[in-house]
Amino acid sequence: MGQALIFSGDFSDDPEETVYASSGPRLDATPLDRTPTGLASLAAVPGLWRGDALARVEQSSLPTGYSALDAQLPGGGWPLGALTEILNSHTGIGELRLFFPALVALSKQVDAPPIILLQPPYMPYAPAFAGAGIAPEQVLVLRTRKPEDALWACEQCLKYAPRSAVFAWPQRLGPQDLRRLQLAVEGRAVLAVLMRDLKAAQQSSAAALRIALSADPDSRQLRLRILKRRGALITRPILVEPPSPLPTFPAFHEEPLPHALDRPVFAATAA
Amino acid sequence: MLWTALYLPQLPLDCYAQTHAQTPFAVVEKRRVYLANAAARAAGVRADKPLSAALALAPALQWQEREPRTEKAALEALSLWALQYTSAVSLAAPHGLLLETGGSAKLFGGLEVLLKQIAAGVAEQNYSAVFASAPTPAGALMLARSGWCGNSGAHITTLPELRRLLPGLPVSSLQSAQAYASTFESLGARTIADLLALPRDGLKRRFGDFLLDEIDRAFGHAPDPVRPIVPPPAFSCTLPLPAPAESSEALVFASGRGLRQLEGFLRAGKRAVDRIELTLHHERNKQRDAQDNTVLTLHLMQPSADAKRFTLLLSERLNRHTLERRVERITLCAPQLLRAEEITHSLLLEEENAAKDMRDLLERLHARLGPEAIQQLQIRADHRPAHASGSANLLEATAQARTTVHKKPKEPLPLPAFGPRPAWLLDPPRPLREVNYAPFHEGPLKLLSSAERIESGWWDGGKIRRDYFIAQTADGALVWIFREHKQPLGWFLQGYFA
Repeated sequence: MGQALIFSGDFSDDPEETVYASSGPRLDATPLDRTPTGLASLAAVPGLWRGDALARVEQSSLPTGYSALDAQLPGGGWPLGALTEILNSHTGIGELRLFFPALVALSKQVDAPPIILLQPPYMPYAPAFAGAGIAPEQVLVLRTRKPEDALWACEQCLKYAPRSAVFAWPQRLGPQDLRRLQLAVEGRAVLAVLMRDLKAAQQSSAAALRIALSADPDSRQLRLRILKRRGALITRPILVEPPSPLPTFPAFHEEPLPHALDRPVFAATAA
Repeated sequence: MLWTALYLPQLPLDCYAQTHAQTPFAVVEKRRVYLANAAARAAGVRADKPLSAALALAPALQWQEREPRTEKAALEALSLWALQYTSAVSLAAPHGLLLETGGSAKLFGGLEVLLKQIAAGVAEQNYSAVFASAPTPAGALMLARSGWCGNSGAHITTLPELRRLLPGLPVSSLQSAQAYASTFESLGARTIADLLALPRDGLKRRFGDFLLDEIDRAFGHAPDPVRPIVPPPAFSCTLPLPAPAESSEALVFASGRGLRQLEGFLRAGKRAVDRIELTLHHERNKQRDAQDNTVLTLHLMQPSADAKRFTLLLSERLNRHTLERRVERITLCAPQLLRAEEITHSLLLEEENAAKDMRDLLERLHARLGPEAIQQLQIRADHRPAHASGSANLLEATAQARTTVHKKPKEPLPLPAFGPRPAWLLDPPRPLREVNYAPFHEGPLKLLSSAERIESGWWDGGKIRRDYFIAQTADGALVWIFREHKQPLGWFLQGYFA
């Protein structure tokens, strides 16, 4: 809250008034009516930026489908025309499901822009995409033999695949490569996501948004730590619940099920 | 009728696709220089010099034996290109083309515009040409050959004007007088007027019918039938190189001419191609005395007749290709011509550009990364997990969609209602250990769903009988595992709910 200190030092010598302005209207608030001082009044000063506010950039974006996450992202969604890095070390916690709501929205657009998967770690499975509401024909899988070709292909896709979504699983990526990709995507309406290992969090990166993922084994929620965004640092994790493959009957780990037949089959009985 | 003659005085030299103008190059006939390019001439290599002297003057000189067959092939390829400007193109052997431009001038916005377009196109292909137009074909050719008309060309549109001009032309402008140049010199006949002053009977006896006939045709006194070329059903052209090429850049450059000619040919017939075959003829192997070829195929996402697109793709394709041996010449072939689609303009320009960008991108990726690099996901009606998903080569898929577009669209097969499926599939599945009667994958797995029995595939020998579960690892990852009910029994990991 460095901003507040500056305000009280420069504009108001009365500490009482600063507290009073930031803690909301008081019934006997006669001084405020006469001379507008304090934080609230300063909000109207043009060109003044609050330290904890998000950068007000003209960022085109694709709504993530999670309001809690949208509120914390500069453009109100996954950034288009800027790199997003997803850092995750456990395959299967929902790193791709996280994007499904946005991809479903994308696939409903008129010309159905493609979803390009570049060097995915495993075989993308068509029924999963169809089940989520994404037409499998829209998903293009790109594999290259040489790593330098992969980087070239990624750059090409970011530059020349308008309005598509590009997910890349790069093998090795230096800071200069990231810089190159960020330059390639700048100003283009492309959702560009790099899926990387959590270890890469130590590296510096030119990506506009970096998010580290971890699963919460006791719930279906995914914990997102925003390591970097265009705006103030945010330390508290954001919890979102990506579409789950699990059946939607009452949370079985919380209360016992009403009927034995509905109960999940456990390993011992299945074996 | 107005005929435009396109005279290529340097055809024997120009028919070789010369990459660098600075490299001295000459065509040699009977161990003597026949024609030399500017760089060779600058070094002192002149026509009629012995080859040994020429090599002494310019040690870097590249040379080829003159081959009338190659020249004729080059002329024919050029005539196919010229078909886009007029329907009547005729070969005027050995070094000329005749185009009937009177009929098509209006379409192109006037004779001047049309001729400018033709001249620019010829220059793009690195041919040096002289243009002349006249109401008679032989007259146009004589004007072009005379060297009288200069670079901008002479364009005579009326017969009286032509008849006034022709007598002043040198005798060498007659094709039939080429063999008797020294004889006419000694006779003192320098111009056509000198020739006409001689008795006709004597001329006929001494030089045959052809000479007088050519003059009569030029003046319009005798009929001059011109046989227009018939466009072939497929395009093919051979591009000889001045010296065996070692780099792919030289090949891209040399193919440029062929691709432009292909473009002209396709435009003439309102055609397009989606596949171009490029045959690289390698240098003859001295030991084996065998000449083998490499065939490269260019695929296009959408049929096209655009030389620029062809060139871009070709350079990507050649960059991927490593030349094992030097290349002597290139053959370009478009085996199948498709009808050019009417270009549909979308209401939104932006949308149209986006689609075009996407198509160009896919073509580029395809050319550089190979045909197997881009796959499109496809869903199949099969309950067995490993059979339910497939992928198709994107180009094949789009080509198929194009050919079937005119048929009634088939109702898609109803797909089986799948349960929840993982985004990543492991095929073949990975066997899992069993610890304390529970499957184990980076820690004990917790089963979170009831069993989904999949029992199918008895008809093709790939029968399976499995119980599928969604399980959670200690890290919170969701995996798709199954218990096999056939031998060998046990747990397997089939996928990740990424």
